[in-house]
Amino acid sequence: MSDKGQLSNSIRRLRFEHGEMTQENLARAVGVTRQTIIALEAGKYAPSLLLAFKLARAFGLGVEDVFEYRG
Amino acid sequence: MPAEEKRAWFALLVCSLTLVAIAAVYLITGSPSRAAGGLGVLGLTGLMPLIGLGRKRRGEVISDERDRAITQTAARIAFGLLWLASVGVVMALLITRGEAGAVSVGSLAISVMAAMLFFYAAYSVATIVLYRSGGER
Repeated sequence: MSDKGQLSNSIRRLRFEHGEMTQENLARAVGVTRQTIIALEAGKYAPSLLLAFKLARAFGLGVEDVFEYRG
Repeated sequence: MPAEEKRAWFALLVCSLTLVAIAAVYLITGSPSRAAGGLGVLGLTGLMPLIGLGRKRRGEVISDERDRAITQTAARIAFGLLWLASVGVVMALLITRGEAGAVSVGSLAISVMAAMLFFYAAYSVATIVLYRSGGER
């Protein structure tokens, strides 16, 4: 089974809750391309631990507030 | 479109142009050795690093961990296919020409270029498919 199916995230919801932050702005904040944010939101990409922490920091939250692992 | 995907499309275009050049020279001259000169078009792949340079100068992120994961997977796929093709060619040569058979130095040089063409084409297709499918793991 793919790891991607077991990992979900709230990035899209959190972006809207943080002043309707654009994908471009979030991408810039964490140092990735907008396509990676799109892939993350679509559940097509499981990020590295470092990127997961960066994303959580961008929202001022912990990793488990952004990502959910259903093992 | 990510810069790496653009590079893959460019490499695929160059591979196609190379095949067209080989076919065109062969049709005009009728000489397989002269037609192999068409492999020189493959040198255009040297322009690939220029793709995305403008965005990089503007301070934009043009490649990240997902791009690296995709290109690494694509390279592994392309290398695997190249290995299979190489073994297939060697086996075919052994069967058709026998163990005592010989190939010319010219053929050997062309085979190296042909292997590069094969690798670039396989790498480009794999990269594009991985970007489109999201199967970069």
